[in-house]
Amino acid sequence: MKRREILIMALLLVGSFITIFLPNVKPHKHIIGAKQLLYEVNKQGRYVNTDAVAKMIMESDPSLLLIDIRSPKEYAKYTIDGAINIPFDKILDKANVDYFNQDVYTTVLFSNGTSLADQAWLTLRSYDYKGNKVMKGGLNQWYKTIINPQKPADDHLTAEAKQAYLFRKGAQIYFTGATPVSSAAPTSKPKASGKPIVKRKKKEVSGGCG
Amino acid sequence: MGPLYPQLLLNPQYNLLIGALIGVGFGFLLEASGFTNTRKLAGIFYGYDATVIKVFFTAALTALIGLFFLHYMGWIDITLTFYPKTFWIPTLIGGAIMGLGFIIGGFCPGTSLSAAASGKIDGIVFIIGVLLGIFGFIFTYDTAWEALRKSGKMGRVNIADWIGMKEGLFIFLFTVIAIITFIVFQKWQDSWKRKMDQKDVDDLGI
Amino acid sequence: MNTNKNKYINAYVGGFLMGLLIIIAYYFAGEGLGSSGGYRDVAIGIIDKVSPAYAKANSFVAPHVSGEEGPMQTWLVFELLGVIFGAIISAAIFGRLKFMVGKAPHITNKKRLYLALAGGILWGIGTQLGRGCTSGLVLSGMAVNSLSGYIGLVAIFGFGFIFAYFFKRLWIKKN
Repeated sequence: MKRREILIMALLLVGSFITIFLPNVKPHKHIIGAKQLLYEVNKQGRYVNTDAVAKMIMESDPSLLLIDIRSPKEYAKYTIDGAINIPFDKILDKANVDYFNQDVYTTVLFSNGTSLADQAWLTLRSYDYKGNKVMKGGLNQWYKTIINPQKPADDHLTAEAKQAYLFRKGAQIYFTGATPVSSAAPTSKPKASGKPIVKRKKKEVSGGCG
Repeated sequence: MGPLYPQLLLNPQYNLLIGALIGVGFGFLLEASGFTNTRKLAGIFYGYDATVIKVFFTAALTALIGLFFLHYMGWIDITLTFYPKTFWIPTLIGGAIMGLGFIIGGFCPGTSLSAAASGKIDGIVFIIGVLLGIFGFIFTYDTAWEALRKSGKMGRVNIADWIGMKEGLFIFLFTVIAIITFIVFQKWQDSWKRKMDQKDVDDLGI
Repeated sequence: MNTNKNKYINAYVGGFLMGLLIIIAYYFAGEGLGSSGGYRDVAIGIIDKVSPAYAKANSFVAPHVSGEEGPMQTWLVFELLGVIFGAIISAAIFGRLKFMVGKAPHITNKKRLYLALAGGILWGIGTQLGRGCTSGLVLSGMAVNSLSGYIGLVAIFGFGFIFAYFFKRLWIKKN
């Protein structure tokens, strides 16, 4: 054998010997490119509105996983029925990855407004976690549209708006237990509202990807 | 990091350009290694020329070990790259047909193209044959081949997993087996060379 | 020094460089080196040109002609165009660029060409049934430890050795 042949053989042998001690191939945790992120941020496909969330809850959609990313303190005061709490600064913790990086549930992130949930979505997306959504408008919008829907002014009332209002009134009854006749809005903000909300037991995701 | 194109990190035009450049390298190496010489290719089946097995296994091992390291170091994710899914029945039967084609035709598709490019008329005719075969396959696909082609589906199967072995260990064992194979085929070639005419030895370039 | 002797590069060096090329291909394009896939794309492109209606009706062809880009504008086709140039460059450098029929000396040109055609047809069918050829299925498959690549390896070369016994006369002169 010539010298260069021996060199190549030795290289392959040593290389393959080292591979014995390396772990099996597993998918990487992906960091996706800035261009791709910009494209997706622009696309707005991550948003779901409060009506859609309310509808999913009312229909007991089993694929819905609501995640409240505010502080545990705020979460303890008020949250949406069935939501679990993963504070913003904990979203990348190992224990929480299974909630965000899976393909079984549609996770909907929410905060008081849109921006904190949006930031959480962006952070998760940059790790190439897919399937997470943001509830547009957050709890403030939830309060305005579901807990205390405003009757639209009669003169602008289109059929669609009327439909939406009727849905919201129905949702309001579902979520607050308000009686149909009572149109009196609660005067306090939902966070402070003393209405008894029966919390569902936390949903557990046992790692969607196994 | 890599693979760049599947992660939208590479412009489609550049991807095609790089494909063409890689093709130039591939064509060059095929020709320079002697894969345009049909006698050298057929030689592997009779033992008088060991080039095919040497080039083939060295290339596979270099890529296998290299990609494994690059994946480990995080430079390329080989779970995102081309990965032939396993349909064992059609691959086995198709492989048998290809084996027969190899002995009769003396080329495979890649080598015939470089042979044709360097002026081998048999390479050109072989390519015409391949295209005719593909047309024939396509025109009879719905009636004759579809069920067979989709049978034996196993999906994305890693051979080390399938055997139940650690991947690194499989790579090492394969390397050892390949080197033993090289030595055996080299000995076989040497024994042929001693009784061959000088003209044939020159043609094979061994 | 005999000037008629074909000069080829060292097989291990050639293989090593080819392995590096596979790594580069996987890194940039996520594709392995392939051949038969490019042939298929060309065949499909021709069918699509001649009869777009048939192309859409055939369930083998249809998935390839649904995209915006033409069925021939694929990575593999560009790679094959590169192969042509690469082979010409190498043949020119090593002084092998000339029209000739490659064969064992005792076989006539006519017979060799018929056999090449027959072998090509078998490859055309075999590659489409078996999902790839020696480069795309076996070489690139083995590079990522795909079971499919190893099945292809065993099938092509295993059956190759068996058939080789029956077709010995094509390559080795009777003594």
